Amino acid sequence: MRRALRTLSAARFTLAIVVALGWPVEAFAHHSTAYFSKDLKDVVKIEGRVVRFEWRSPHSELFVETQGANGEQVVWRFDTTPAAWLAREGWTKDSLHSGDPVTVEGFPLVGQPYAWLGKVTKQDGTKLVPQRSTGTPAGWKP
Amino acid sequence: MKTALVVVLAAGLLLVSTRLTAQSVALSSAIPNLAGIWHRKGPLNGKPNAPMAPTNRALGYEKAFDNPLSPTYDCVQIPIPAVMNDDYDFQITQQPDRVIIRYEKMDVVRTIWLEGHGHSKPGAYDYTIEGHSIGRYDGARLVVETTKFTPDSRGFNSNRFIPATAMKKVTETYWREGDVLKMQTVSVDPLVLKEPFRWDYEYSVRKEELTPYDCDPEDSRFGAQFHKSIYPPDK
Repeated sequence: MRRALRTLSAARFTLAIVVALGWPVEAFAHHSTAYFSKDLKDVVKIEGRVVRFEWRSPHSELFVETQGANGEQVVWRFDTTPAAWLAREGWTKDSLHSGDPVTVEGFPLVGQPYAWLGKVTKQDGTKLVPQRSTGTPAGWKP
Repeated sequence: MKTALVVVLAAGLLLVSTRLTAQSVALSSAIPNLAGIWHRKGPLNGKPNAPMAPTNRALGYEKAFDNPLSPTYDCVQIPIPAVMNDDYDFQITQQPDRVIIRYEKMDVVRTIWLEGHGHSKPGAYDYTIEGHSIGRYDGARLVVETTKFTPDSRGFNSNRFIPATAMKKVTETYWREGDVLKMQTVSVDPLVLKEPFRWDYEYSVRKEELTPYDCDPEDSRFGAQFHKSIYPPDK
């Protein structure tokens, strides 16, 4: 109990600092990402091909086709930060193209082929990582 | 005699014209150069902004507000000062009778009508999301006063649902210190704010063009279907 209280106090303290400094970590509260799992045990790793990449806001979206557990084709949707934020991290609207083989890690809405994007690894080893946001679990290291 | 009269008139016209030109040059040189694309740097002079002080009725509204009701999901642009306090950049263009501010956030474009140019005033029913902005140069500063806002659930901050009424008034001041653009904003709305809400920030020069926001209502609202309502389900 005491440990839980200590954790809560630390969390409140961190939040107070974040609010005081006006860091953009609050961003997205208006576009909630609360339904994506923040538990690192739930992180999904999908290997497949890009169906399409939508360079837009408030979320850019990556659709990846992969094979499901029973051999069926499944299209995963990964939401990520707005185009302007991706641009700051070096992404462009041409970073990903239809048909590109990719490995994508993300934080799912458990039970759905829908996740918040953590990292994309292209076939040549190039890694694309979006800016951290409220959709990113605290302990995530891309 | 006629020739002499023409010469005198021509000389007079030339004199008036020269004076007008000189005056125009003097005026334009007195106007601060705020034009450019500006990138968020941090709170003004490094001093964090104080949090908003909503009234109890505004806090009650926020508590009752169910997130999926937000018009942001449908790409409805948010009003100032919420446009400024989200993590995006903007561009200022100065024209003789107006200033245009284009924001990366939601592709918002505002026109600030400069005083002294005979711009028409808004009518009784002329409320808009970004309101009606009137500006003036006060020395090296641009001062903008905006009223006539449509009431909005996202009145002051894109991350909260503190509503703004049609009585909201926002005063902005912009000035330059070298390559840094400084901005002060003061929002008042007596029914929802106990004291003026200040959002002061500074910006550095950005060389890259703004990234289009390009909101798509269908995609934007997609995730909202998974957001649990704070209310019990309807039967």
